[in-house]
Amino acid sequence: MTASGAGRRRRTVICALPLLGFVMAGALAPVIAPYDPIANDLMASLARPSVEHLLGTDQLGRDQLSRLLYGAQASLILAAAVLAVSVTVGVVIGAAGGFLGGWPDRVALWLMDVTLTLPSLIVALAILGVRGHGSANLVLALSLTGWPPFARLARGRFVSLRRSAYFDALQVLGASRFRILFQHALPALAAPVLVYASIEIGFIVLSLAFLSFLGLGIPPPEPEWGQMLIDARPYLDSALWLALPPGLAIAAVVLASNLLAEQFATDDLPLVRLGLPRRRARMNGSTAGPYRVEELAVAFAGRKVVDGIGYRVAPGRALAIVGESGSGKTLSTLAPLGLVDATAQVSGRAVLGQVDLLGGGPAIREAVRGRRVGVVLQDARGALNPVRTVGALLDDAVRHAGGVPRGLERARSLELLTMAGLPEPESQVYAYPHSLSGGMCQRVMIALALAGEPEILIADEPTSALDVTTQAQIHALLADLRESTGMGLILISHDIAAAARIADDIAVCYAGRIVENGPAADVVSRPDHPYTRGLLDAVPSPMAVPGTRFRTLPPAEPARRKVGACAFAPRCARAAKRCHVEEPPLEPVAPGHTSACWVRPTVARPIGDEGA
Amino acid sequence: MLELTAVRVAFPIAGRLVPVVRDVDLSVRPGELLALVGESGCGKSTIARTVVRLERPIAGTVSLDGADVHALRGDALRAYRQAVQMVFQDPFQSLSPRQTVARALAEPLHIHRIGSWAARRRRVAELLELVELDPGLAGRRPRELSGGQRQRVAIARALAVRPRLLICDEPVTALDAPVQATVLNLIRDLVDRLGLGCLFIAHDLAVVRQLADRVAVMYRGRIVESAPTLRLMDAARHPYTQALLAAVPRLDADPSPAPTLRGEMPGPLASIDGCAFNPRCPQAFDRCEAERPQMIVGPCPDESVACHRQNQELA
Repeated sequence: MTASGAGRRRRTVICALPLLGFVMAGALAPVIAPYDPIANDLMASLARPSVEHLLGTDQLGRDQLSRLLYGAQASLILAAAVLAVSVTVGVVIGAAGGFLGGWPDRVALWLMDVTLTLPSLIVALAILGVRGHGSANLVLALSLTGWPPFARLARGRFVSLRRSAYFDALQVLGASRFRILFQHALPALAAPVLVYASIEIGFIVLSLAFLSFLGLGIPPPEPEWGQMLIDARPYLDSALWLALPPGLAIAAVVLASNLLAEQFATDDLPLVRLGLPRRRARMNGSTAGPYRVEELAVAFAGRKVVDGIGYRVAPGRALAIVGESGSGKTLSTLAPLGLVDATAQVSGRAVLGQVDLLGGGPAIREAVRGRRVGVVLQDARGALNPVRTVGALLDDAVRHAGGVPRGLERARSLELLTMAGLPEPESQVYAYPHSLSGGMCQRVMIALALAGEPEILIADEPTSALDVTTQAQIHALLADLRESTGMGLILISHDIAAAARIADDIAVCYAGRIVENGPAADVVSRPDHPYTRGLLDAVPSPMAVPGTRFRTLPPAEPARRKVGACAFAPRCARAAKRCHVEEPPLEPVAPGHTSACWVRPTVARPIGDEGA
Repeated sequence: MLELTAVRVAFPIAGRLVPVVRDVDLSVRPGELLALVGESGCGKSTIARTVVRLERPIAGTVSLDGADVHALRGDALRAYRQAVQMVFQDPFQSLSPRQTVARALAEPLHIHRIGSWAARRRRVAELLELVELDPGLAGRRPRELSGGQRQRVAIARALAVRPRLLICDEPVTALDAPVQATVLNLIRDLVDRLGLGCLFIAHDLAVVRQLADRVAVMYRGRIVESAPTLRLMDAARHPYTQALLAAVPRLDADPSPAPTLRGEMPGPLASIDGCAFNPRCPQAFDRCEAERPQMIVGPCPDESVACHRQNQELA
């Protein structure tokens, strides 16, 4: 489950607080410590915590609070030194490997792997045993095994940079390797290294305390937390106040840095929740009727992205929702299924059979997903689990959909793949998604969506990532399936020409509203709304004269949308005064054809009679 | 100006070198926009990448004004980097997320040490105007721009060093349909105004019709047909070109799905005797399986096709 963004941020701050306290204490120790940490005062030996000595004194009468603060300083300086060495060594090795590739990369990887197998504390003990005490040796001992995580981080980033279009672009521009490295690659590495370093602090503090406890750390009388613990050991019965503060300080710093690590790790998880729900809940009342969405609104943090959208799809019909990215076309179909970020506020009605998908809790929406409503996404390869075979993916979907006896899932899977037109399904069930072409991945995705024998199939830009010839194949497949299964089809597309090819009806979406809705042939041949006309004009015409300009819409206005005005007015060539002050409602312009526009030419011109 | 002669590019796949571009001849003249069209995996992007030296051919030569591009070193290479620039498919990935528009546009000038600080600033303003972007966007980062704006920035960056040849690798595929038209108009305008040569990679023939002067169609690493745009569109001769044309969605046609090409292009590892298109070709006959058709020029000097049926008719 995903928590809200605010909660996550709060937890991150809470985790970071002890670390911040540690750094402040260490940095400000000389200023805020009330006493000299190594000044003996045998008169005040083993004093209990009091106003004079807030944390008491040790057997030599030294102020414990001052020692704790200076101990933080010692740990902080050592941790900084260890990190500086580890980061430098790690980034140089990792970056060299990732940037150069080939044998330097193999050497770097080998070094990382070997070092990672070494137990760091034992290596540190061995080094300190051979070379003796001293801060320099401590830093060496801990850095020697501390650099591989940074090397991995750097290598990973550099390898992905080397494979990116951005790197290609820089090379084509003629940038030298030196420039790419210092102007682009290294600065991009700063943030992740900083995050990882904050996590490493905990481990370094713990290691230092451990080594000091064994008498291998910072030599007395310099204050150090581990050293303080040894000093306190003989007095555990009589003076517990000696052991408690350094012990708690170590625990707090280590815990905080680990929790912070956890927090960063979960922050990076994708928020998409398209997985199949675990709960099974069959629902009754699936008498075939139209799927109706009414007055749908979706808002993020109070900003409406979908504002009063309605549409209906009858069994066996195909509706295309057409619009630019950001127009709300995808949200208006996925929100009723609960496939939106948890922070979205969704209202309205979405009636399938006799059930209002938005009339209750998430269980209602989960129950229809993958069963009564199938979803096909644009990036099929990304949506398929890469570590499972096509057969395993389909078997899961079949099991989830229910109705097939155990052990017979594979037969049904083969049937579905055949329906989706995957060639040689018997052998392809053993293939992994990455070995299939984009078109084949999309066929697998369609087969998955068909597993529940859905009443409605939602296809979100199913062909935008495909070649034209494959696009035509997938369009033909969707049209065939609709006919043979009688399911309703909702196609989401930015391409009105592709929409017209398979849909019975077209709804044109602009700025979170439907501005025109009607039979596809009508909308395409007699568009009423100027935006629809603009979309149609932008379709490259197969009859166009070579060398003529493409017809375009005026660019989108970056300005915020005015409340109570037509959202398209700033881009509209025929906008009148009224368009800027009053929002037009959807009104019938022909049987079954509605449009939301104030300015209507008295005689609708057929498309294509304007000069180019 | 740009001349590809028998260019062959291969990648190591499954332990052996597999050619993805096979003996391609191609030329782009100054002021000409040549569209290279084909399905994904046909090698068209590899050609673009080879021209800008991101890949090396294993045989054949790429030459600009007679000089072998892959033999260039030192100052000559520096000059080539200025003369030839590229616009990538996805502007979100080809621009640094951390650079502002102004810095991205000034970067090529820094790299090639062109102009003083003030001159660079003027050039950035000039470039923004050239690609019809609001000068107020100079301080924005890519994530604050729309897809169309980002691609304009990428185009402006490519033009910063005043190249003579522009390579566009599917520059509008990642954009919404209405935005595509505006970017295409811009590219055509710039090619005309600046007299650039342009190699434009596309998978969609619909886009190319209004844009290109000449079209070359590629299938599985080879050019199968090449002709002036209008000739190719109105009288396509290779069955593959005809299939590509039929796959374009049309508003005025019968709304039912058009008959489509069966199957998919076989991968680079599959071995096919004869014409690479014969397993999918509705017009294939026995000769197509046995012998690979050669590119035959004609009937006009600017047209050529590699198809046994066509060559039979010509003969």
